[in-house]
Amino acid sequence: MLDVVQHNHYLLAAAERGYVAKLNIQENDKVTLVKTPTDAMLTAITLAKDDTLWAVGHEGVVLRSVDSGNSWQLVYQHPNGGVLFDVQFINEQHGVAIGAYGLFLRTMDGGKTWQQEFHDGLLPPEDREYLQALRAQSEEDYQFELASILPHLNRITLVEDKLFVVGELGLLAVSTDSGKSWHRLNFSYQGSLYDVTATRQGIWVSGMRGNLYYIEQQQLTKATSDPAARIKDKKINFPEPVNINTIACNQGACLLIGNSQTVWKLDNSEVIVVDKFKSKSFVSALIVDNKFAYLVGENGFQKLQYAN
Amino acid sequence: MLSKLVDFLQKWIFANRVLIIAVFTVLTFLLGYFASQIKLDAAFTKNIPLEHPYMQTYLEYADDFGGANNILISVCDASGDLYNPEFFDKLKKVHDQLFFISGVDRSTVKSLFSPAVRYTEIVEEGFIGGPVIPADYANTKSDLAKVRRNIEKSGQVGRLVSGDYACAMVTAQLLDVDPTTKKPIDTINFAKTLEQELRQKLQTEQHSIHIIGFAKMVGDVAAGAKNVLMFFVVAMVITCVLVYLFCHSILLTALPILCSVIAMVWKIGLLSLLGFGLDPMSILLPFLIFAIGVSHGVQMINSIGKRVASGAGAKIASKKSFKALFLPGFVALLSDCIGFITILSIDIGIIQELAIAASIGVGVIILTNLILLPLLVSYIHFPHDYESRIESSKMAVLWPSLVKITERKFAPALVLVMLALFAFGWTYSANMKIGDLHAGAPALHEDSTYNQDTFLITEKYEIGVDILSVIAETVPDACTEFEIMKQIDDFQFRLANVEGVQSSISLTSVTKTITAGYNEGNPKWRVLPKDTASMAQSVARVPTSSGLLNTDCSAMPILLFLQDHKAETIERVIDVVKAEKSNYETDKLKFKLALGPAGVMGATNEAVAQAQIPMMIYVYLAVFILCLLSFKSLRATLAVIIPLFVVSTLAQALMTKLDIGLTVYTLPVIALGVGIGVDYGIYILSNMMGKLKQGMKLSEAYRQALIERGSAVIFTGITLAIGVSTWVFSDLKFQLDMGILLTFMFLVNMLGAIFFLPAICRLFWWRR
Repeated sequence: MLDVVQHNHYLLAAAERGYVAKLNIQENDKVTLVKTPTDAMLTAITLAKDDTLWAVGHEGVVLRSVDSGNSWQLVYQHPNGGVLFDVQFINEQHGVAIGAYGLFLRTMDGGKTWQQEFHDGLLPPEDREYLQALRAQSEEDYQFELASILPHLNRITLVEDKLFVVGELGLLAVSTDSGKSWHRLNFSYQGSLYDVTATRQGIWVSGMRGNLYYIEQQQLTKATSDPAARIKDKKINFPEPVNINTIACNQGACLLIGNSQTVWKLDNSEVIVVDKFKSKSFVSALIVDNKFAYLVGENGFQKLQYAN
Repeated sequence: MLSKLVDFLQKWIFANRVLIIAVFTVLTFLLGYFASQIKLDAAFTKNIPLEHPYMQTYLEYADDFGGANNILISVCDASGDLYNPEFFDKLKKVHDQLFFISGVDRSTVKSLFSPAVRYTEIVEEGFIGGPVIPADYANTKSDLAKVRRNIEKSGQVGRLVSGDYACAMVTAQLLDVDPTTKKPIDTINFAKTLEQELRQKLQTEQHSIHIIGFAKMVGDVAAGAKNVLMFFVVAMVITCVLVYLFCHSILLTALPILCSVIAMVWKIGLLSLLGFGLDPMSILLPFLIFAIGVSHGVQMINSIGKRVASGAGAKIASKKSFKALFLPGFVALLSDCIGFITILSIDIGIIQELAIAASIGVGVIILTNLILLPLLVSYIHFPHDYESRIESSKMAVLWPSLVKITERKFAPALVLVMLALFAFGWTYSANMKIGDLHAGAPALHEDSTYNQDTFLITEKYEIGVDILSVIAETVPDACTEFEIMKQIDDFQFRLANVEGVQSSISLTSVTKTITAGYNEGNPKWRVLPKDTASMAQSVARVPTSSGLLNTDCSAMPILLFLQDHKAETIERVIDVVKAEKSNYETDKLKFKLALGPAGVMGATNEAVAQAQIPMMIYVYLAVFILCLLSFKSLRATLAVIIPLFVVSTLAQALMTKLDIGLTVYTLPVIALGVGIGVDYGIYILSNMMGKLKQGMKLSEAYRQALIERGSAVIFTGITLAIGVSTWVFSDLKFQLDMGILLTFMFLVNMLGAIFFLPAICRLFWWRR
């Protein structure tokens, strides 16, 4: 299982082989598996404001469910296949899905049609300069190069009116116009980033090998007004050199989930161990009722009780 | 015609008494010498049904993917934490020690100390990796900290290191043939070496050592089988005492026992001469042969004793008894013999050897107890007061009540009771289970060291010995083709979700992990790459020594780690494989059962289940034909066989009730039970038939039969039952099971012959 979302008293997890696992919190955490029309691995699941569930995955599939995840329709499959890693809906009609090699899809009509977009704002300044030079010579070469130069996009997060994207090669970008234009932040880490999440004071970014960063809100504001500004980020000491796949926050509490049997939490900019499991590693988590977290990973769901 | 032959035989034998006894003496010494040369032999291949289709797959791929003959050694630290220098020191010693034990395939010895056990770490620039324990490891605290991190990265937690970090594992596979001596590996000796060189030398308060695997199990069974000798002595003493109480003469006690011992010696000598060895199962047989010998010997001395008591001389009495008993004894023993031979139809080495050994043994009894015994007895000078001693036979008080069974008002009621018992047994026996019903090694008790070690290892590690592999047979280089790999992966997923499958692994699941590794360890990339180049890149990192693919990648096993090896668990998995494999097969891809210890057990269970009904049919057919030939009466034949069948059914019901599964060990007991059980009926009815032919009334014929043979029948039933019931105290679980079943068979068949047989006779000869 690779991602999880809550809908009423259900947890829905995107899983391998085109399955969605549905856990009923009110019924003793009973899990049922729902087969979707695809065999491909589903990598992300999200809930739009109109209670529509969306899931994306390998082979460029976009799936929709309007009945709490009991049945799924394949609404779109990218013609070139490709791998989708995340999906977000800004409102009922307007959604974006992102994935490997800069794959960026947008719908404006509630998922009926999807268009691919290429955003050079996701590239580092030197690549952008190179592309601009190329564009001056040939628009065709520019489009071709843009399509192949883009990094993997791993996660897209919506915080109030801002969209954040993280990805390969230290990509951390922000958009204030629903992802139509992107603003890449000059960030100190150059490895892959896997999650970005925001609290009132600032944003947390996690990546490979225990790389965890905190960026204050004012740094962000500064960066959005001046693209060239080098932002000050704060590296948080992380005890194990594993990929941090997810930062799961709810009402100020944040759990850190990585390629590990250990689960950590953030405690005033410090990372402390919450629990160690004997099962396989985890990919994502969801905090429910501020007392429990449901972790998802290789072994399916794992319930965790923690003191806040 | 038969009686003429017996007449001739009697004349010839009694005319050449000295010669025959001399020949017997010489043969006994000769075969005794060979018997002393017999070896214990417990080769792995003897325990499996080699002709079974699963085993054909097994033999085809055993070289590529390793057989089922592996050994797992877990070293545990009492503190519950293995990260201390002393523990690693001990682990290294265990690893080295195992490496040098002859019989171990050295290339397969695996532990944290093997250079082939590596970790891989993904960094921003790509992969870094190395042996989990680096070459410059010096067993210091800082080295340990490094090893601790490497272990986490190696994915060996649950495999070579227990999930709670208290134990670590050393594993190896055994060779079939010793490369230096070119002889098959002596499993029992190997197990002894493990015990001496590893457990005894290296186990301490701090570090416990747990050893499991087929070879160790056989070793422990063999060690337990040594106690068989003690049971044998106990049973012999009990038998002697009972025989003495029966015949009141030391010489008459000694002779049948002597003849039975001779039968045993001949049997072992002949087996040794034929090149067979004793295995932990057939070691029980000499005792059974002894028991059968005593049973027939008692009939003989009983008959001779009665004749002496009525005034005949020893030689005349022996001659007459020979004439009276040779034919029924011969028929009874021949049907035993054929009963045992039918077990040959089960295609498992140890059972077939058991069948051969048992039929040789019973055949030998014909010579020793039907020929030699009366000859020896004919030399005895009976004391003058022997008559008065024999008259004190206590059992005679039973005869009047037993004779009532043949009365017309009682017989139908008794037959109804029998039918009710049969109906009860039939319904119960329908639930009889095939295979092992308990976790752990079925041959041993649950609290034995071996089974405790098994429970510890299965609890602490994700692996165990209960592995069932399904082989994906496909075209060369199939592991780079997405379509084929996907089918294998989907089938693995299906099987991993069968109840009882703890975990699974195959080339496809490893490839997915590696693919994620090539993508910086991102779990969202844990898929099979669609393009051949990426697939090849990932697969290339898996060496053939992993046992997950053969050299040209045309065969890949799916390894399923089962919770236990209970027959129902294995059957559930195998049923799913059989029912659903065609959904995943293509023109280029076929799935085949089965490798791994659980696969072997699955095949054994199927072989046992398939053999059960044919075996019963053969046994009963043999008994039926022999009875028909000797009695020349269908009614008499049925009167013998019907109670026998009722008892067989009740025995199966007993197995259900006591949770004894039908296994390699218990299946032969059912056939043996029929073979031995028929003796009682034959002795009683052969006597009655003679009287009936002379025109005697049925009740009177039964009374005479009881007087002449009844006490011997009751006596042998009880003696044999007491003898085998001592097996209940055995260290070996299967011996206990066999003991219970044989006790039941001996006792209840005897009861069947004296209660149900006359009642059935009454129905058949209503007017007599």
